[in-house]
Amino acid sequence: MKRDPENRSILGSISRRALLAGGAGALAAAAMPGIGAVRADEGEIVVGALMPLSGAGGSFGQEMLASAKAALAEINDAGGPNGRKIKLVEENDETSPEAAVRGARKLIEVDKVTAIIGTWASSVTLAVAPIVQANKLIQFSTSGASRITEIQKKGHLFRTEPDDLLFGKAYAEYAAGQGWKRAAVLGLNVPFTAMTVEAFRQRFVERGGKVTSFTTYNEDQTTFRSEVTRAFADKPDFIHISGYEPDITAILKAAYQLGLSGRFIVPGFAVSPDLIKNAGPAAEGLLLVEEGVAEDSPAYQRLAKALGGGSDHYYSFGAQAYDQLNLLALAIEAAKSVDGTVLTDAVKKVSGPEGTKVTSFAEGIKVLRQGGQVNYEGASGSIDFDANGNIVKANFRVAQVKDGKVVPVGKITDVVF
Amino acid sequence: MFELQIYFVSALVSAAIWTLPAAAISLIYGVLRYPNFAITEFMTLGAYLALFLCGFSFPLWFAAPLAAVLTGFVALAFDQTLFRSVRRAGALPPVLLSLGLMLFLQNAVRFLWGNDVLQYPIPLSRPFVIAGFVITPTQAIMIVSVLVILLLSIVGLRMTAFGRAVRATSTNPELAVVTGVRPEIVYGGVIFISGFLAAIGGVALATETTLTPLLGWRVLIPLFAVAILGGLGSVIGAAYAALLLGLVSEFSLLVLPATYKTALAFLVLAAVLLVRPTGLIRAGD
Amino acid sequence: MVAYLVAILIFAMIYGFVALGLNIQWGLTGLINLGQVAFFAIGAYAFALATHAGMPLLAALVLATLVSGAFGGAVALFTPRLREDYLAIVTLGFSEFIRLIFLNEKWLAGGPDGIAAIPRPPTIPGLDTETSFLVVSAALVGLAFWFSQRLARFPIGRTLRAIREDETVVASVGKPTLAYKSQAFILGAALAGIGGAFFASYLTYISPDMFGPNVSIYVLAAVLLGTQGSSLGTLAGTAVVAALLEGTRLLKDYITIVDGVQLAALRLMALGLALMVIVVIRYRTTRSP
Repeated sequence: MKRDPENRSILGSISRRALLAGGAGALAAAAMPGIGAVRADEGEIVVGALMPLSGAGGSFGQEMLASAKAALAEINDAGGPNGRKIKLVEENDETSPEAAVRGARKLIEVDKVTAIIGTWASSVTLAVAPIVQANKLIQFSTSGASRITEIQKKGHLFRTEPDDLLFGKAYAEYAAGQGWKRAAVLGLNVPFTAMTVEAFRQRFVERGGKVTSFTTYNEDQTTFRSEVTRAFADKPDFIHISGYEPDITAILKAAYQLGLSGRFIVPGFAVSPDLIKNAGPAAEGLLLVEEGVAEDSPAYQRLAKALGGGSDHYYSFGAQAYDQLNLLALAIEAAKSVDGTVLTDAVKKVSGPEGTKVTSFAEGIKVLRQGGQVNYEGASGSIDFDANGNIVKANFRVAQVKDGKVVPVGKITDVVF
Repeated sequence: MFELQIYFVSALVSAAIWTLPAAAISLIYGVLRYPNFAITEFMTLGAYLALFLCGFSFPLWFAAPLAAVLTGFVALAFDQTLFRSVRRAGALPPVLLSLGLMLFLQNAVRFLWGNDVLQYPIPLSRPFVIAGFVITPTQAIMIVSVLVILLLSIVGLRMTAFGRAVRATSTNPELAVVTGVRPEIVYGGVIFISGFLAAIGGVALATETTLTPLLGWRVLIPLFAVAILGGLGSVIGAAYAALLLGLVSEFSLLVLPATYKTALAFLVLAAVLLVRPTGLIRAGD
Repeated sequence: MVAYLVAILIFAMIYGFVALGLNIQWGLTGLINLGQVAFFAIGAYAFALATHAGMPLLAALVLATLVSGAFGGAVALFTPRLREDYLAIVTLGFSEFIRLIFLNEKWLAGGPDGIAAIPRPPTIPGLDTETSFLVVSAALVGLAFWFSQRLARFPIGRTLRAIREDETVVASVGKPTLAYKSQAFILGAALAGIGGAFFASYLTYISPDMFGPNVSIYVLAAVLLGTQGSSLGTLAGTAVVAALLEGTRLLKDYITIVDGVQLAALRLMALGLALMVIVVIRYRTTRSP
């Protein structure tokens, strides 16, 4: 018992000192079986970080985990919600729903977590959410698929990522703003693409554009030549690819090797330094639309400093993971509870838009402990949740690959449903 | 019209990728009388070994045959340690062994190189366009190399003593033994060559796509469709069948979604086995 | 620790159904089936879709059994005279074909995202959810085991064994071997379907990538490990394979020199190696000169 590190932090420094002063720390601890029972309510709050540490989301998962740890340090340094420290247990979902389900079960049944943050791929969020809901816990996700909204109606699930409908509209707004009229679409055979593409088509047509073709493909195809040819056949002003990194890389290469040149617009979450390296000259000029971060906010600047990257790093998923843990901690403080049903309401409340603007957990608890209401404005944006737990209003950034570097070229602000 | 020419080149590329591994399946079936499911994993292994050798700044044209020789030896090692002990137990035991070997090799690759998508250090290049046919230099080199190896295999099977022994064993094993053929030498040789051919096919597939541990597994069904369509046991048959299936599956895109190419190959495979198990194309070795 | 043990046992039960099914097809009748995962997948999807359509769990289970049995019948009807090696190719190819259908037909099965929120049976009062699930699945495996035992002892079992030994002799005494073989294939597929339903219910989530060839290899190893044809041996074999493979999952928390992906790869390498070793032990012949 004496060397149990968990025990030490649970008892807290004062009681530990008291015990040591008594000169019988070990004896006392052994003689107090009641401590274990108290622990569940009064000890650390366990939070699961279920993140894609490998697989398609691998590079983002690492960034998210580091960002969540940055938030964790700030929260625990400020004393934690209701004076309780948070303990973060990481689990790799391998960007695979099966691994994620197993991981979620382990987090819930073995680690007894209060909340799960970080689920990234939409398929992972869709698979894990019913388990979280059945256990009446709370989950934060960075997935965009609109299908998730249906599941969110049962509560317990928040998304800090703009819904794909907003993404689709952002592509359309940007393209229309550039005066482009004809679009071809290549979509990976997963649900998120169907909704994005539909939203894109709708807004693009409203703005006077035309979708010339929509071709779906599977991620494990050996060649993309035919699909690329189909997309270029109608001489579109640009081609939007709705997919993930491996297939987008393959498509860009296929186009290049077919001698075709065109403008490609892709989601930002599909573009990592690996894509730019692997696709080489085929990635030049590639346009990417990604969820914006609040670059000038104190929260984002703290995060960027903690992660230690240069100014050319753009931590959009990291910012979300950072905000997720802060929102959760503030909600626990505000609700004075770790019950998932109570927290569902509390998260909406601390996200704003009403209340005093705060940008960190430390600022937030000051306001809350004086009986005020807070409006958390995070690293990823102002984050106000609607009734379903989706963010209401999103900003996007448009960037372009130039000489192997990602350069910002535009912004699309205040995109709403 | 541009689209049709693209399909044609794609069919040619697919055929070039499939020919050698399908010929390997065919050879093993002809001589050892069992379908070997591990061929696809020898493709994967060969492709990754070539990548490994590229890491020592060998050019791919040199790394590929070297990797193929290594893969041949790996195939031979498994054959001598495991498959050899069930030689006379019928077709089922080696089939099951090859299934186990498939799983083992695929995950050995995953263990050593991980799940990440990798690619050869060959620069992307713009294609040649000849009369509307678009082909990249890499594809042209790949198709020519496959053709050369295919011709060498066919000539080898016809002209050399070993080739004659292989063909004799394939047609009538008992008679071959009587005429002085030593079966274990033939078996070992065929396994080595099959490993070699599969690895070349794997490299070819990886130049056209990327390297993942599932590289070979994804073409298992097309390969068996090709091998069966070509009449199991025939190398030339495999080459013709590869071209035929390549054309059918590419031009099927005019009516079917691309995601069904593999399913289509299965239907071809099943139909041939049900209707005419000896294969559609009868050709000599 | 107990939680892990329960999880391993549940997997042993799930694969127990599938292996018992393969044992009827292959162990008893001699019909090789390298694509048992196809019927497992069909059972899982049928159960998931039926429960989502509002069907009660028990009815969904029955439906899953019937649908996978029907697919087994279809395969049996199309492949009556195929030689062993061709049957191996067709069944393996069929399982991948089925997986592609589930992957591509989004309207049917959600495509690559699979189906989530599949219900579990109600928890038995006094037990936690996992133990309760184990008890329910063990009870049904017991039933399937009893059924397999009866089948082997009844005249049909003797006929199936006779077909395994020499089909032409059975045919020559006027028995409809095709009908018998089809029945064996249907029963085996139906049992795999029950396993699939339990799998779907246990994980509460299914997607096409869960139904690769691994499950087929898993149960082949289990049937080979038990004495081929014996239901008891099959279940014992399944338990050993499950302990070896699901049991090693818990190593993840203790082994840090290899990462999760590598550990998963090692486990599947072990499965492949185990199958090969079992085959060599079972079928080893004297070396050819």
